[in-house]
Amino acid sequence: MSRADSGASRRAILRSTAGLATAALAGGTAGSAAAQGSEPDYGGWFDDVSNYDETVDKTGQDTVEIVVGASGNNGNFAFGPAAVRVSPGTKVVWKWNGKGGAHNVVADDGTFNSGSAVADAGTTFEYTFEEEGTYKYYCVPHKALGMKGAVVVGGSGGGGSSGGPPPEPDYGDWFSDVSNYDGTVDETGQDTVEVTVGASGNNGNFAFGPAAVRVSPGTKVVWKWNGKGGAHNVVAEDGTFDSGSAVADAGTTFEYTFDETGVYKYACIPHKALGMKGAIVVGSGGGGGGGEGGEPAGELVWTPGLLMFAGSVVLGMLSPILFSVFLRFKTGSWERPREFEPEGAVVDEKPAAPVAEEAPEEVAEVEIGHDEYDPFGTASLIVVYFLILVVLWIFMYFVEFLGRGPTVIG
Amino acid sequence: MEIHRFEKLWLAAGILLIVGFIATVTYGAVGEGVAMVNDDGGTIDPTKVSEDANFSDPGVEQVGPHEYEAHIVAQQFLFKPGTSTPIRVPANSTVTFYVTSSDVVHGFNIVGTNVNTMVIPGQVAKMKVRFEEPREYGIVCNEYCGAGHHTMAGTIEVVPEDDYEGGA
Ligand SMILES: [Cu+2]
Repeated sequence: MSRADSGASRRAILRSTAGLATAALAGGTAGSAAAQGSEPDYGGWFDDVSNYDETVDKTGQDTVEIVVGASGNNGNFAFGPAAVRVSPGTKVVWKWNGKGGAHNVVADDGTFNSGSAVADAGTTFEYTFEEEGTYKYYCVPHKALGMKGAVVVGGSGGGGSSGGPPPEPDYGDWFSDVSNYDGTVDETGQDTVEVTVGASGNNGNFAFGPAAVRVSPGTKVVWKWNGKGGAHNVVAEDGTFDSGSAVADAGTTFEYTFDETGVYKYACIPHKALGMKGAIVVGSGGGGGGGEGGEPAGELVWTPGLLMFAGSVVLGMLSPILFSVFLRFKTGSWERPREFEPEGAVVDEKPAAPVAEEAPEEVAEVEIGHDEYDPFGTASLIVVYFLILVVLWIFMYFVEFLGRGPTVIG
Repeated sequence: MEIHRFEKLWLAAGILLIVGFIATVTYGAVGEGVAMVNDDGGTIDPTKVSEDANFSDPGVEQVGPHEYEAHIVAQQFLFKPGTSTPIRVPANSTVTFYVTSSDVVHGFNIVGTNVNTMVIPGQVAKMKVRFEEPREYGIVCNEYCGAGHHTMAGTIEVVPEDDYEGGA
């Protein structure tokens, strides 16, 4: 789609020249420069969305329609238009055109969710936006392809970025595996702040919505279960608060009033590994706070199985060396390493030491006939190889194959 | 021809090893009941998956005491159910999975287990699996199926028997 291409390149040019060439642009492209100026800060949300050009102004309309399956992102993997600005109270209707496979519409912060993906043309999903703000959304199956959109409700948009927000606290790598974390949501000045437990994110309903919230001291934070994604709980990293054992029921709530400033990291124990983690920042500071928390994700854990495996690999690689050492010790001939001692009667005919002294090089050239090989040496080598084979066999079949939990039984 | 007694010994051991390998596989099939995915699942018109009686509203269904059937559609780039909503089955149950594709070749692998099959359009992959303990498993597609293949994943939740209230 050519429109998408030209849009992308114009955006790039605008971005790169924004600082220097505003004056030059002011003449011919005044309109688009002005639009760029009032464009909300989507924070990289549209970086991989080919059909995003700018926010389409649809303010003042009661109903706004967005096509699901519009052309873009190398196929029919786009929302058309990708970004719209609407007035508060507008009903936005997403309409499936039946192209590009099954799609759905899921808000990044869990505000709205069309459910599981469907492909049928004519499907619609609607949501009425009452509160001002920037609502990012995407299609779960095609998010990686760039099927993302945004609805900006009200005024000049810009989300929280316009008012010069306090600096983002340093969470360490707490949010590195949290898919729905996208900056700290500013809720300061409110008495009660609600956080959804089971919001969409982390490949399922394994997220807190929003993941990070900034509140004023004395704010009561209420975690509210939406009943999705199985049983969750809310447990502070430093033990400040703990909702107890995980529950799945929708409507469950847990609340905690934050009086002291600081950064409170918390997680859902059953789904922590999936990235179900959040943070409450109390006060406008933030700094380091909260301490070091959990162990870094993805660190190698030395389980007995892994140790066994690593051990066998190292042993296997060292076996030729070990074997040669063994051979030398066995024959006790560090001084004459190449000399093989034939078996039985041949020993008697072995020349005495003087011969070895006279022609040491020739000793190395002793031919070993079929019957003169060293039976113990060869046998022990074969025994070692057999042992390696048997260990790998048992490991492969009984540990790796049969020991892997549920299996196909019919 | 003279054969050294050591040579005789490892010839015998070699034969024993081969017999052992075969015995192991036989034990897996007969003793442990490990089965292969075959064509028992039958065929389906891949263009009419959404009209099929079993796959129009895929999900988990109880068919007997501790016996369940799970119909799953794999499509670009999701499992239905599985991706948007987890597949929920109770612990201590036998679940027969019927998986088919409505577009291209996909894979269906319960991560970390041997439950693994190709999902071929027009074919229904049938796998009977016993779930003993409550646990959460991941599902991945392991056949490259398009640009979003790396995001194609889902979840199976094996929930405690008493907490089970219908599948996804
Ligand atoms: Cu796939």
